[in-house]
Amino acid sequence: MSDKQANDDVLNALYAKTKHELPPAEIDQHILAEARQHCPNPRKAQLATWQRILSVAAAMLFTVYIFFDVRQLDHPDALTEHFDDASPSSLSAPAEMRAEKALPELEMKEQMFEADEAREGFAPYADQSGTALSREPRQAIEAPAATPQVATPSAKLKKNEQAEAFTDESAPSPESMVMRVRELIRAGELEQARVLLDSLKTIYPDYAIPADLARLSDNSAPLP
Amino acid sequence: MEYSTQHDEALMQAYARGEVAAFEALYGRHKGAVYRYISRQVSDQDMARDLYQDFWSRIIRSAPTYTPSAKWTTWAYRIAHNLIVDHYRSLKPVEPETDAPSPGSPHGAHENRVLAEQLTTCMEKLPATQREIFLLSQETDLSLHMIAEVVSASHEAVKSRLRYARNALKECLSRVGAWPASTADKGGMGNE
Repeated sequence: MSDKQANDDVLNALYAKTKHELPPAEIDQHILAEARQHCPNPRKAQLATWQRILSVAAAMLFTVYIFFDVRQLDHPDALTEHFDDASPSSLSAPAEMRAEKALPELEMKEQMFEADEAREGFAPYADQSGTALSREPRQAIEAPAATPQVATPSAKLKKNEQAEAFTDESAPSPESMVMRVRELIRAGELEQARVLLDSLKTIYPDYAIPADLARLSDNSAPLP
Repeated sequence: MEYSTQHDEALMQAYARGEVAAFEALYGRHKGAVYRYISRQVSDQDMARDLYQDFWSRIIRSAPTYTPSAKWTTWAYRIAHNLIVDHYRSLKPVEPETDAPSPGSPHGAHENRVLAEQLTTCMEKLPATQREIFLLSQETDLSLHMIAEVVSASHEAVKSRLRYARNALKECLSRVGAWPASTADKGGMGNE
């Protein structure tokens, strides 16, 4: 190391000892206050952060809304039927699960309804295929007064009574369903009896079907 | 957000976006050096403080239009340099003091403080151009090229002024007994 460089280092070290001088605190405060006052966009940075959060939340809400809206379009009647039910447990479940749960119950109720209709002579309400569901009975359940298809006041009254029975939370007992099946068989309404029997099996899968009705479920078997 | 690791240019841009904390970090990083740079060139300390505040006001107000085309330190010290030049232009020319500082006896616990005071006194005897360049070389990490850009001088002129300033300070400190005579270079207090 040359003497010149050594002297420079000594001078630098000596100067470093003078670096304690700082501006007074009041000047610091004054300058920082001015910086806050003249900040180009004092709220912009904070808003930008909140805007990002709100944007994500809005996007998520929009996605959820679109999802359930599409699901409702796929199963509008099931969701309507379900919300008419409005039990607390079903309200807490996801809409998709509720819709899937509501569909089989609706089918069973309508099948039983159609069986009774057929027995009572309201054949137009029963679907010819026995599997596809017509909309008229459901309309009678949801809005009994607005069913122009009902021919007479007495028929309308019967439908309302049945609708109330089916919308009741307590399902018909298997014994009463068996009695109805037997009544249908006696009345010669074999097809409707089969439908009702199938409903019984669906609702009460563990219920032992009486022997005299077991053959009814088999379409090809001869009836008593 | 962590500002201590960010460059000066990034802090300035962050402040321009509205982050006051970025300016606070920038201010904390440079306040001492800028203050000494100004106060050691302006003998009137009240005026030095006014210039110091004026300097930061200009920094604050130029934030919206700031573009990091150069190092922030170069840009900022050029503002400070212009402020000092304008300040001296507004004053009547005065006779430079030529008296040497009174000899001292730096011993004991206050040796460092006395040495620093003698150095400060010797710096006050330097010509303004030499003192400014010496201060920039000590208070900033600017290269000679950048210092030349700050003071609007050539690189060779800056280099020469800095050499003169160092030699003058060593000679001054030697006269007051604060510098080892055996290591003192030959130099003078004259302008280049």
